[in-house]
Amino acid sequence: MKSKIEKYKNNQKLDLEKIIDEYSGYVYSIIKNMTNEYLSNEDVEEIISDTFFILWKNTEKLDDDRILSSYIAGITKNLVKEKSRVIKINYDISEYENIIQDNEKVDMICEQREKINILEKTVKHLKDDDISIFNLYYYSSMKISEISKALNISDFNVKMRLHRIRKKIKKEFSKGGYSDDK
Amino acid sequence: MINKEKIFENVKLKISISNFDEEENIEMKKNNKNIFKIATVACCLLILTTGITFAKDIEKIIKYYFGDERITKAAEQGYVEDVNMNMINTDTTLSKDETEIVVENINVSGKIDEFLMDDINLSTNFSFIFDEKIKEYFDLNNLQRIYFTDLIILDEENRIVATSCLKPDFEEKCIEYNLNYEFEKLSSKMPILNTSVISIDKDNNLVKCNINCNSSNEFFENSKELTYIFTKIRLEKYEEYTGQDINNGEYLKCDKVNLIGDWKLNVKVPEKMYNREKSEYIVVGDVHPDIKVSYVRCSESGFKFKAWLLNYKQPDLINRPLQKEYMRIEELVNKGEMTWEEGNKLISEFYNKEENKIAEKEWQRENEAITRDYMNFDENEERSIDKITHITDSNGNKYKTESSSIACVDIEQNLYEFTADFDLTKYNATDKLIVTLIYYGEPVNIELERIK
Repeated sequence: MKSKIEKYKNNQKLDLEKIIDEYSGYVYSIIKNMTNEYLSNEDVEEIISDTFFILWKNTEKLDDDRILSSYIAGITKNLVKEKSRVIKINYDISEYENIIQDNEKVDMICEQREKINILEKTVKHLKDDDISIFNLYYYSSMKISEISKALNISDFNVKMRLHRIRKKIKKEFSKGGYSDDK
Repeated sequence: MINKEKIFENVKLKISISNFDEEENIEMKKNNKNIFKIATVACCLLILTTGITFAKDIEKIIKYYFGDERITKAAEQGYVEDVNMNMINTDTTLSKDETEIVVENINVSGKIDEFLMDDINLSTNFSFIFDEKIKEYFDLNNLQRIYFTDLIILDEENRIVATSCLKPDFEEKCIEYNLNYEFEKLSSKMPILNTSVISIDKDNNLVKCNINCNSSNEFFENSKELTYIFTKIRLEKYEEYTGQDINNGEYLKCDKVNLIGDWKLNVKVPEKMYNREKSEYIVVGDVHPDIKVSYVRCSESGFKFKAWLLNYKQPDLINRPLQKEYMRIEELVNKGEMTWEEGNKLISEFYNKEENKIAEKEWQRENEAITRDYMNFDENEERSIDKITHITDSNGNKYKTESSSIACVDIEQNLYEFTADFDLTKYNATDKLIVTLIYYGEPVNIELERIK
């Protein structure tokens, strides 16, 4: 866990798949050690996903010479703290104080995450094929023609479905979404 | 243990949504329970230093949510009536369509929380608390749609303000409440009703929802009292897609329950609403000979524009290039000469040919009377508001249509009416405005001035 950020960057982009593969266990153990296993699996998964998402959102702010694990530990610590406010758990960060260096530059994008969590609930109501198209377009930045080729459907079909997905998300979001109790 | 694949999928989706959000710039609403959690934390932290006023302000932001941004903003400006009403209990009978289950004595209590009425919108927020027993038949936590299928709203003079009734229910209500109306004559004048679920508190079986009535051919009267009468509530949850078609159609499997009871909720309209001032615009200067503006009105929560299209041509769907190709493929698939997989490939190849793209664009230009949606543009094409119908105010701000329609007024005279609700209100509309209609592919400017 001593690798520098630069190892995970390619054309200024983070190789998230690799990072998640190598560091998910690390984040998991931080959460478990900090919270004495008081969190549910769902909460733990949410913190892990949010950790990597925040890391991605801060790609430009990450110092290539620094060790990736220090950023990850810092973000995880903040997310556990945040969670503890909501569900009132005690956490212990003493074990990680030495690892976490100056993490001030990292933006925890709280409000944006809140918004994304709401949108996520709407997107998860879409059927799997539509989620795939949504991810190919908005995550993989593929063009319409590339998506249609990959999925063996017409450009028109992809365009229509993307249009419908956007419309649906905006419509549901403007209505205020659904219950989101946890 | 953790599932790395699932984590990666979750992160991917978050990134997709984040990119989507950046592109579309969706505005944050303040009604969601998650936000409530944040707001509560913020209140707890800030209440120590700034006192109760701040807490109330936060509460107010969350409270006034009407499902539509413009209506919510009007409420935030104080154009809203808080209703102090107790919950009204009703014993209902529940029926579940597919299973034919019928259960009696399901208690549902309801009340109106707040409402807003101006020339264009009558928007009402309701709270309903459902009996614990409902959980056996419907998962409230997954509620997606709520309908009031026989709602009728009357005012103090027994005038029908709005209704969702179809003819049989309508006629029954007219007899019951001694109303002298004919369904056919009234239906075209009635506002368009939309209902939406605002929030669900699953622990207390509490559902907050909104009914919005948007005026169509006639504006709302200056009513002083409103009575909401209904006996049916339908709760729906869409479960899964079972198919789709090229014209945007989706077939959904739907879990639904109907609750039959008896609700009659009455509210007084405050003076600020029934004594509201009318705000209208007139056309100044010349307008395209094919277009005749019938009226333009602005209210606290909306902006309505209506114009007759004097030279409207029905879209020639038969000769639409893409449609022709689709129909050809459909026929081959139906004959069993190819699969949809092969057919889709051919449609894709057809659409990707430059000459077909040009023909499709040309068809749109010739057949679409008024362009209102970004839908007509290629993904790679610049999606500028100038390419769709919009309004420009005197400060240069541009507003697109929120909803619009083209309806036939007189088929023999080939008279069609274009109606649009634009994304502006009394609070931000300037005295001079320019409406730009993209009419058969070309911009037509209409200069408007507010009547003093």
